Amino acid sequence: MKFFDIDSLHEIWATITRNRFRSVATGFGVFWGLFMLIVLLAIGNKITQSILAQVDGFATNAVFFFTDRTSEPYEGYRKGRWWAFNNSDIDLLQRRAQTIDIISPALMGNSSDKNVVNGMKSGSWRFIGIFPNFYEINTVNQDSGRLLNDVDISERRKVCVIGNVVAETLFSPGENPIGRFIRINGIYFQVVGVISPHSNASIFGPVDEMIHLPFSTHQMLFERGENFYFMGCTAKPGISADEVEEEFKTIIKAAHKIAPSDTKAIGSVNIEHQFKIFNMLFTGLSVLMWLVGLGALLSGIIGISNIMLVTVRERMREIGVRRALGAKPWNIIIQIMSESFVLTGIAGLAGLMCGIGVSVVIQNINISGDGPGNPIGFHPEPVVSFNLAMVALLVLVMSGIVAGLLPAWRALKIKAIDAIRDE
Amino acid sequence: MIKIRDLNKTYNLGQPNALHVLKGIDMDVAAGEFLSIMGASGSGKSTLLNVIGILDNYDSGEYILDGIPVRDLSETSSAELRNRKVGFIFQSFNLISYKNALENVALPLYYNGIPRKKRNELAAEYLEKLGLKDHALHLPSELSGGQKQRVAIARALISRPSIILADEPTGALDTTTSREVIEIMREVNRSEGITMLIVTHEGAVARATDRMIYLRDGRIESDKHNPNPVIEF
Repeated sequence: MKFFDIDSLHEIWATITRNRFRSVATGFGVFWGLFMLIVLLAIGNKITQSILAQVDGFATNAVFFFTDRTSEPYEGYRKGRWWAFNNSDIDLLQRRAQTIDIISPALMGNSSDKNVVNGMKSGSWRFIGIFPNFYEINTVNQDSGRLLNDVDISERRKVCVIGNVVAETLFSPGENPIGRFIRINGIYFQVVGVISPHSNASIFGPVDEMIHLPFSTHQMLFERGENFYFMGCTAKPGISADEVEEEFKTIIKAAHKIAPSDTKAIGSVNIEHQFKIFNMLFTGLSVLMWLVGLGALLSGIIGISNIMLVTVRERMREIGVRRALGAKPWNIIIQIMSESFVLTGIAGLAGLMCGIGVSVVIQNINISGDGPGNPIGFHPEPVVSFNLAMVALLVLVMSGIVAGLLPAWRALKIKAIDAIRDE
Repeated sequence: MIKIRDLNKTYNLGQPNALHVLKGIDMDVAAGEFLSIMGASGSGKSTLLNVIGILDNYDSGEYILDGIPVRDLSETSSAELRNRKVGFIFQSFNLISYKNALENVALPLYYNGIPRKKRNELAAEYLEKLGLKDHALHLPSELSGGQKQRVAIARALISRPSIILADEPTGALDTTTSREVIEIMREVNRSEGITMLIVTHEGAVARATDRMIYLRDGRIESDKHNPNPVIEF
């Protein structure tokens, strides 16, 4: 059985163009439906990307811990005690913790007015002492030079990695900061690298306006002793951040004589939780977009189905004549179905194209207003992925079939004798 | 060619408003006959035509068309049988408005699965036979009543059916055109040897045929040979 030959195409085209306005108005329903579906999905995709861009660069299984006052008395200590992490805690965690993959302490330096100086140029920036593996928790873009490394830590080198804003302020354009010495709070450090933020997300504030020092150097040169107040960890593969949080707290509480039931003494920020919330948000957003888009499409399909029913009624006599001339039920079904199919297909493809066109525009809108360029440097997804296009096409084909079913069934009910009766 | 024995047809069978339309029709038609069925409206002539044309079924009796018993056929096989054995001519022509004359004539062959080129050649040939060569690409709306009926005749002829059934073929035509159409049907009957059965309530049309069957109240009242067919319009 031939589905499409020149004759059936000619017939389909003739019936569609016979009532142009009606066909266009009907087709518009499907056009709009598919257009909305694609555009909504593109908007959803854009929102998702924009939010993800904010948190991109964080290890999704990271947990940050900070010290706070105790809230319960324990082993002779009063409640409300100030305490701090110390260097032995790092060794302790590395030896005992089963769930923790990497650990980096972070020690904030004090910023004061014009605390960072290079010759005549100066500025006020904060600086932190970290382990090199801090960059695995919070990714940064390495613009030039290198990041901190383990030798910097073990040899307590007087080196620093500066944010790009710091570099631009302290050095003239064309001047290479690498290898140069800058003064931080009165002490000279050699610049070994310039970094820029990988995303807007950062735990201590903007990376581009910050200076990173080796943790050990920081403790020694600024006479901070062994104390610090902040640690970041990631979970081992397959282990949830919740488990890391629990184990970390158990070990540290025991080491610092903090009541196991004390919930306030160790503060924590669980990035995995944030990601889960985002993921739920994205899923909800995507479900909503699909619902609205498919709803619009459905009303378009119903429109086509409805108008096809009218057409079938108007063409009762024609269909009756065809039956009398030897058209089999199958021929009639194919004819009506392919009419609705072509109408749906043309309108739907137009909607798909326009939808993709508008999506491209949406994709290029810079919602986050990051300023010139794309400092975030995330890789934009294709506007409409291959999968989505396939799904949309499938939805379209299904729509055409669904729209034609009822009219075809109605056409089948037409008996030749009723249709061609001359009374 | 056609053999009908004790054919009965009742509408709304088994219901209070049942209507016994055909009450035991017996009828034989030989191949190549040119005959008419007459009767007042409600006499059952249209129902009989529908049964013969396999457009409607019947309740009891026997109907054999060209050696094939027509009984309880599926929609598909009755459509096939109709396509091959029966041609129709209607009072209101029933041409498809958005197809030109050639495409209208070729339509039965389309449903018979004949390739496009072949059926268009045949359609052109039949249109030429009926003097419509120059109107092949005209739409029905651009043709006169007589031309439309000639297109319809060509459409009925093209699948070379065993029988052509004409339901009031002159009903919508003026006398001059009616005469022309009846002459063509006569000519086609003679030259192609196709059995031609005309259902009409007009005596003048019936008198142009070789055999006149009168139906009254679902029964055959008379079945007369017409030795001197005349076309008197």
